[in-house]
Amino acid sequence: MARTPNNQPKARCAEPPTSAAPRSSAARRRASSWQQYRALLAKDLRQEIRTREMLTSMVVYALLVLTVYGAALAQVGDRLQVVSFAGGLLWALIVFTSLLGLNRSFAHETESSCLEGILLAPVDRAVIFLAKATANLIFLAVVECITVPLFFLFFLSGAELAATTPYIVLPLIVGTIGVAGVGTLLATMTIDTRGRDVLLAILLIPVIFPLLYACVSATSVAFMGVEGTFGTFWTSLAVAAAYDVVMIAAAWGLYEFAVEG
Amino acid sequence: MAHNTLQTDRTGRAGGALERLVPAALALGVLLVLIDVVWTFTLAPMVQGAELSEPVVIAGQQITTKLLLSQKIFYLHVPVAVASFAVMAFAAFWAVRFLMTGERRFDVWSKTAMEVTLVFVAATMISGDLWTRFEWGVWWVWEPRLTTYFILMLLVIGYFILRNAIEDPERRARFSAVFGIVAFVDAPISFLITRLVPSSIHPVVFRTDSGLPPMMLIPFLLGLFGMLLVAFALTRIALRINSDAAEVEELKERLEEQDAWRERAAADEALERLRAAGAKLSAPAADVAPAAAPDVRRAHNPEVVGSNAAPAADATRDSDQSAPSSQEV
Repeated sequence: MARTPNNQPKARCAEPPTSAAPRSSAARRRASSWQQYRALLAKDLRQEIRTREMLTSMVVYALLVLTVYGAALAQVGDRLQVVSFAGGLLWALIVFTSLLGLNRSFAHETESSCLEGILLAPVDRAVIFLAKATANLIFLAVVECITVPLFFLFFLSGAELAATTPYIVLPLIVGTIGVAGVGTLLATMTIDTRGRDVLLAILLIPVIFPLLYACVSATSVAFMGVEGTFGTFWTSLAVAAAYDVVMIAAAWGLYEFAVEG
Repeated sequence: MAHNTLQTDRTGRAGGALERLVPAALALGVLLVLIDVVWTFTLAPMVQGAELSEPVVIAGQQITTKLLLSQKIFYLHVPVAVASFAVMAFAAFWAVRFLMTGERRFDVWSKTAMEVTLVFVAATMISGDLWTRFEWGVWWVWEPRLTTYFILMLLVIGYFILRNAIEDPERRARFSAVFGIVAFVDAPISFLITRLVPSSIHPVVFRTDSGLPPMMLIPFLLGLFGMLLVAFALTRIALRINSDAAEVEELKERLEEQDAWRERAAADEALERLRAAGAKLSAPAADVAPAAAPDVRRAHNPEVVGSNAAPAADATRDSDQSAPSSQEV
């Protein structure tokens, strides 16, 4: 009896905020896909800047692959010969390094149940996919910015480079986008499975094979720079870009089934 | 093939009119493939192969090209490959259906179609590889069609590795459906690659102006139709086996559940009897001879020492071992 007068003002006090809260949260939700994306991306980048775990391991791994190439190519004397298959070597390096990075990128999420937290939040699964894929793309691009000059330094420093060599940047961009997009979907699925590192390789390499084939073809044409063959470069690049569009659309649509619902 | 129209009953087992067609389809398919093989080696003309290094004279005629016996494998190799694409399309279709509906039977169907796909892919690889070896003298060439088909095989194998790596059936079904759809993207690429990247090794077979003479076209079409029928029948048979296996698993689970339920029921029944006995004892004790009641109770059931039976009955429920004590009562 004595409580009701006490409660009433409280309820009245509580009412304006509760009625305002849905309005503000609804406003936030309506405007927020982009904000959610930015927040998730910033979280990944901040985490990486603080730990530097993924970038360090990827760069060191890429260096080791380059060392193995050094042993494998020790008997190839002529620099010109290396130029003819440099595109393939470069892409093998990128694929193996990105496999390592993609596995690491989701190790963070499971270690501290971070993924569960993200899934509990009212965030669209497609936004999570895009943020995660962008983060992976940024990390892969950073690693490529370090390793591709090193590749030139180690294996092509004495070679006569064709005038079209700078064009390799285009297949590198298109290919990295595809690897990051498809890799994010597959890494999400394999993260909780038995033997996830091997499983990601088993699933990712066949799936990205058409992209890899087109990118190696375009990169090799740019490296060789033979007159009249540059049409192949644009064809391969178009195939790679078409693959990117199809696969990223598929991964975007299927992502909600790939994360724990 | 009209797989998508087939009906299943509640347990997910395939049934209906299509089921009765399976033996007939299998027999007809095998018969057509046999006709194809016999025709291939008797009536179909040989194909002019690669040019010889120098002309040779055989039976008074100057010959500059070699007749290819190995080309005969075309009449089996291509139908098997087409059948593998067709079955894989159904695997992907059922994977989409599973993601749309979440019904477990579509997962079983998709997995089954993938298994049949693997069989046909392996058959295609073996027959194609033999052809490669005898026609070009090498076991393997990184040619666009070969490469993309090889990748298709790796994808199908990867599908089963993924299935085996996941314990939880619900997640396994979801993830393998996603991967089945992603993997199927390679199938049209492999099928169309000879149009995109022309190569002399794999000509574009499916076109209206294929230029095959009737003596070659007819056995090829018979073989193609026969192989599709065989693929249909094999898929249906595998479907029935897998559906039955899934049903057995489900029944086993239900049986275990029922077993647990029956044990629980027996325990409850025993408890009821114990309560009834306790009530019967305490009723005369309260009404007629209160002083005599403890003695009687102790005499009938030495374990029940409480002032009334209900707490004792609760105790027996807690220990969950009332079935043996009910025998004593």
